[in-house]
Amino acid sequence: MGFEINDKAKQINERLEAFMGEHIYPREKDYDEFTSNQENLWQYPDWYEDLKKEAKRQNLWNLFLPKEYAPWSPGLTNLEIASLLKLCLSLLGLNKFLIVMLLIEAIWKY
Amino acid sequence: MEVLAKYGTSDQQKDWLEPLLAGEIRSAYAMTEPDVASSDATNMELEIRRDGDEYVLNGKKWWTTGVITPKCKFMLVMGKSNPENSRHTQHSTIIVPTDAKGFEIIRPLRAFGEYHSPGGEGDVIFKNVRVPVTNLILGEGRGFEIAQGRLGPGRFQYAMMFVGMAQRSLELMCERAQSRVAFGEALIKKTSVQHEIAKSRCDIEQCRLLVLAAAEKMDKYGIDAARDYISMLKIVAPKMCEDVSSRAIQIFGGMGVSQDTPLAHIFTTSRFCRIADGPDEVHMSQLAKLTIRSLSGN
Repeated sequence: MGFEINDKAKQINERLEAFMGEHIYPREKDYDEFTSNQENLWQYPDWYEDLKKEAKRQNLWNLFLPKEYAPWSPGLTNLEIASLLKLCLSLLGLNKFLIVMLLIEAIWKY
Repeated sequence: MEVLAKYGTSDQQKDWLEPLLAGEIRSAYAMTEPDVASSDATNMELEIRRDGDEYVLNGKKWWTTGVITPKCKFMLVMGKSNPENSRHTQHSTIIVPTDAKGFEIIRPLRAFGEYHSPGGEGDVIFKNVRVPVTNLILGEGRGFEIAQGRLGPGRFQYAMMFVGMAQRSLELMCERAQSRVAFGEALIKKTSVQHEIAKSRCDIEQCRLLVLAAAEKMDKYGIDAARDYISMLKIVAPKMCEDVSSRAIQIFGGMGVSQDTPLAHIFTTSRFCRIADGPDEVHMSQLAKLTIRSLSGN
């Protein structure tokens, strides 16, 4: 049993890292402050929709759906998904968690 | 999402799955109920009764994650439709739009004092909510089959999330231990701090390898064959992350419980997830049964 990260997953990891560095990490604080403010209850920050568009444009969208979910899946195997370390590091998607529901919109319950 | 992709009709997929995957709307899964021990999901009481071309829903749910934001447009609701059937074929899963007449959010719940905005956690009620029979997923009495099927990929990715959160906690813990000085030396010089870092590294790596093993088994042999690994992850991952983030908080001191690091969120989320989606104990019993079955060769 070996878990070699293949080139496909490596390449996606690089693109994810760039996306996270440019768009996600710098906004974490802002997201946390916005969602903790009672005046903004149940709302998303303005930039949230644009970020989804950007993730789609870069083909970093719905990566979590494994290939058995064709035609909606971008085609990764479970092992390739599990190898997306940057996705993993930033999967702080739970509820108010730092962000990144983007790439994983709704992994949490469905 | 996975439920509709796997079991939905093409109309259901067009109406609900496609906008969900496009990120235009959100959804929620309503299973847990306030009046019964929902760790035993066969206890679920919400009534789903057929009336002509419609199903009528009556009952209560709570901890319906993500239902409060106006972006949530529908729920998958599990309820009892066939009380005469055997224990695991009494329940069905049905699509209910959040604007259905008779559906009401009683209040948003707070978890450890927090609203989990923007998604929210709902305490909700269904009073004579009517939906067309075409909203039923898969068929009457197949709710448990659906609940099982949805736990595959979602569950190991859920464990990835804990590996990620724990890894982040470890990185923060290491930075803090190097930069903070107490009683004349950096925290990292203290044996107790070194040991906390070492234990955390071991815990994370063990869980990460288990995630990869589960993923590989799913790819090679399918979700059914990987069920034991998926149970292991549900048992191991939230607890591992709770432990690692708790150590990080201790090393940070006051800052660790403040809003200046993500640690407080990480800690409460992992604690919360030892109950959400089935408490640890249910998964341990399930794993014990699977283990005994595999050892006895059936």
